[in-house]
Amino acid sequence: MLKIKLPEIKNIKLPKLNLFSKSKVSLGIEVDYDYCRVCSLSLGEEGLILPFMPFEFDILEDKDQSGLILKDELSKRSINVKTANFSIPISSTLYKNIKLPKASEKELKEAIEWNIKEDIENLKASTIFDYAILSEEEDFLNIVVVITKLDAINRILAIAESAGIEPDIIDSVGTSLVNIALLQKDKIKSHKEEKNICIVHIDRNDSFILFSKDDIFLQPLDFDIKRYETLSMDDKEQEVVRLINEINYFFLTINEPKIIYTSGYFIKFPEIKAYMQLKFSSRFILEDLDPIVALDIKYSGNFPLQLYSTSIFLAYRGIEK
Amino acid sequence: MIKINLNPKREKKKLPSFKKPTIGFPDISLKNEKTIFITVPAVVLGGTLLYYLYLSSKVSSLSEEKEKLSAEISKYNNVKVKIDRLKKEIAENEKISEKLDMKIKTYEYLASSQSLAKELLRYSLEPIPDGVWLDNITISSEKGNIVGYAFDPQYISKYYTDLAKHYEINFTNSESKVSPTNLRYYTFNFEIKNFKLEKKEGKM
Repeated sequence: MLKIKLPEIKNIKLPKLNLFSKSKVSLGIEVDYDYCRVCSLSLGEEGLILPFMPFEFDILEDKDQSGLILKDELSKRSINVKTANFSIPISSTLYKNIKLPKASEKELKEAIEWNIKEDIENLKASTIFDYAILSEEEDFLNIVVVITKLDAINRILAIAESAGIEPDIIDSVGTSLVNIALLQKDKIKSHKEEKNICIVHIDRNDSFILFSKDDIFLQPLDFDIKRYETLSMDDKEQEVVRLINEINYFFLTINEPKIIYTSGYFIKFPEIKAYMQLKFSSRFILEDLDPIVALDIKYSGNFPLQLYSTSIFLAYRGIEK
Repeated sequence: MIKINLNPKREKKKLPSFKKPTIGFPDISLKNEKTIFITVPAVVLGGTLLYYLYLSSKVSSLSEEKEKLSAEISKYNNVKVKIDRLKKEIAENEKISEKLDMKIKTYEYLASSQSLAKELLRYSLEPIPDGVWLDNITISSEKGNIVGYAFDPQYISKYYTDLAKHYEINFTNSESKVSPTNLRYYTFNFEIKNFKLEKKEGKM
């Protein structure tokens, strides 16, 4: 009789299931009035990577046409996504800081609605809001409420619908930038002690200062980067001096931070940061707000990504979710 | 992280609860301490015993299955030997069949070449008119040579015309000769090739 040696149970190796090893991919789209910035992040075994280089393109006033342009730009790069995270322009958002006693979710929502009632009435339009707890102080909560007009949200929804994308998260540019700064602060040893977050952001349509401790303050800056580009060297210097004065004026009422994060078009015009650092001397340390450092993205290219901080963070929220 | 979502279709926000935390473990007091010290080891022991029994029954059922599988394997081994033998036989028979096929094809070829030879001779000899005699005829499927003589050149011409219906002819040579008995006769030599079998033989 033929003897067959059967394998022992302990030697049987079960096949490994690779169902969950597929990398997670998320798309972030920063939508402004006349441009869009798109970025994607992928989380694999090696960490966060950029599956393709972030890109910017112009959009139109017409929402449907803008959606079709977005769809075309994505299909040109063979990007097939069903959902994405979007952001609304900074000028469409209002930040309101409230201190409330700890309460249940329902009570908290009612208290917030009562507190922002006046702001909503001033906007004279249908609005939508969301809030986040920034910190706790014994029995109190420091809450930031982000309010926007429903029209601004509907514009994003219409663009997304026309592009065939389901919007998941709609964030504000301000909170995205503050989040990047918070993450970057924790990554760098010398920054960890800094309690205040201050970001100076220069962009195509809006330039502003963001300040956050247990709250978020937004101060628009009168600095037009399109105009700056056309100025002579002397006028450019005067323009930066004016910007410095605006920042000085802002810190008359607020505790000064040690670090100011520079964001947006600072990367395209390094002379602005260099001149500001010269003028501020040791009063402030100017640091680039860098999403690569903040999110620990595996990226070694030369293409500067500081312009894409918001869209990168939107993509990160999809990964982090 | 500040998590803002202004999407109207967003998921419901999950806020941290600020209520007093409660622990769901039973209250351990002196009253039920005794019960716990008795019931916990008893439950553990009982559970272990049940698990041991389950494992023993599993082991016995697996060993039974192992024996069954061994018996089946030996049975299927015999079948495998038979299948191998049959496969060999089939291969040998296929070889024989191939040889037979080759033989049949050879015979068919021979038969076809025989019928061709008949046709060649028929279409070479049948058109010979009276007054023409052949001296020598060499013929193959590709070409041939006909040597003969006649008393009158018109007989040679008639033979040429009839033969040309089935062959390409190269009329190489014709001579007029006189026999010792003073009879005049003519020799001819036809080189023939490209035999064609006509469906209609015309006047023939």
